[in-house]
Amino acid sequence: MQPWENPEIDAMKGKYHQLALDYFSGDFTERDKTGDFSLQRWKKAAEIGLLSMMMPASLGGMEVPVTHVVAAFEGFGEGCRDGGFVYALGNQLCGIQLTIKQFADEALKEKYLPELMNGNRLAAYGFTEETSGSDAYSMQTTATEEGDNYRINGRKCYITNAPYADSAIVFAKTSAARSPFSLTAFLVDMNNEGASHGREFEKIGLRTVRMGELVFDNVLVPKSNILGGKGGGLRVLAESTGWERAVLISSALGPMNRGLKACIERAKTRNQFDKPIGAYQQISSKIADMVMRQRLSRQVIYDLASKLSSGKSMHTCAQDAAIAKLFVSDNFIRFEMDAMQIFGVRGYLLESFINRDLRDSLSFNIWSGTSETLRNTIAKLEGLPV
Amino acid sequence: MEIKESIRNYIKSELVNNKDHRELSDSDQLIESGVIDSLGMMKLIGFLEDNHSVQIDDMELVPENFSSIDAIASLVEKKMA
Repeated sequence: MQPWENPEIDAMKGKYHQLALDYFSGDFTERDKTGDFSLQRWKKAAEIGLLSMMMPASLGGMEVPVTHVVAAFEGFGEGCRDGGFVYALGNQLCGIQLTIKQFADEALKEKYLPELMNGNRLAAYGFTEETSGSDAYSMQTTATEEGDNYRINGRKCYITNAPYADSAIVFAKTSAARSPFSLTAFLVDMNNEGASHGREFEKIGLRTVRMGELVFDNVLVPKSNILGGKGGGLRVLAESTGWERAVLISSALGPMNRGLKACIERAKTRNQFDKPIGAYQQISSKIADMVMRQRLSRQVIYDLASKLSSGKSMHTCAQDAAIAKLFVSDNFIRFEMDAMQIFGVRGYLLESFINRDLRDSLSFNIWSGTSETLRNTIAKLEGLPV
Repeated sequence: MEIKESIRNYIKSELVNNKDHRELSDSDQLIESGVIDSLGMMKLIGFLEDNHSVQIDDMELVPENFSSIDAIASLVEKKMA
């Protein structure tokens, strides 16, 4: 038996599955079509604790082990068929809140974390630019020192939650050198003079969370809002993407769990040529592959979560996190492609959750490091000159 | 094993990808020469924390502490003192 196979973790998963069914069920077809983000639902998710996990108890958070957080997101994602919403919650928890918890000073933590936990403040993670993503050194946004402040200029692109973010973690170059110390992370309020939300982007998946630009035109930010020290941006980035790869990736498990049940039911009950389609080996093979992908994905995610729960640091688990993200993303997409085939034209209809989950899954090979970048990372950590 | 020797061995075996850097001296510039890049930095911190029982604080992550094998050894020795 695996260390994460225990009643406490099962109970966490079951609790959040039920909470999702109680408060977040329903048909998301219309919301998916219109790309509707609901602040009311966001606050409800905060109320049931999804944004309080791994946060300091002194500020009202729940200091639960990583395995329990993963279980909560698995259960919640299984009950809530709104993949964009689940992704957005995990994005804020892992990318924003854990970063503030680890790298901000006490005053910043006290100012921001309680409001982020209770859903009254929403934040975005401003790293990617139009011409800079995995190649961090090519970043164009700059921060120039001015007394006790920095002045930020630049434009962040394809940012989750950007259109309505109250605050953002913004990465900027504080040195022109191509060095691991040339980037600095700042916590910026979007109501600062010169900060604006820019254009919004339409996407094919995760449609219920919106994506846009964050624009900084001579925005003055106090030095006290630096996260991780001047030049510590890449360390901040490595930690936050590590948490996204280790924890946010668990948002793939819910759709796989419910998708598998639906596909097995379909294979048993849909008859063609006087027998269920599951009696044909081409379908039963797909189901076998889906079982394998779902089960191994759970194993990879919980195995890493167990290591982190036991106290291992994120940078010693950097390769495990890259492997988890890569493995689960690839398998999630293939799983959803098989589900589409099993459901045939029914799955192709916009009213079906099958194609919605497939469209959502396609983003998993992109966010927090593309699969190509992750393969490079894994190889490089084995000493290859990639 | 001496701290500096352990750090030198690790950098040469794990971080050096360019054959021109295989004969590194303890004072050679690791960041300017590209021996330590962003991912290498994370690997190195993990190595120092796991093998030398030190915790590298965020505020210690400055170029001066990682510019050379001498500088890294000095940081570790200071933290172990």
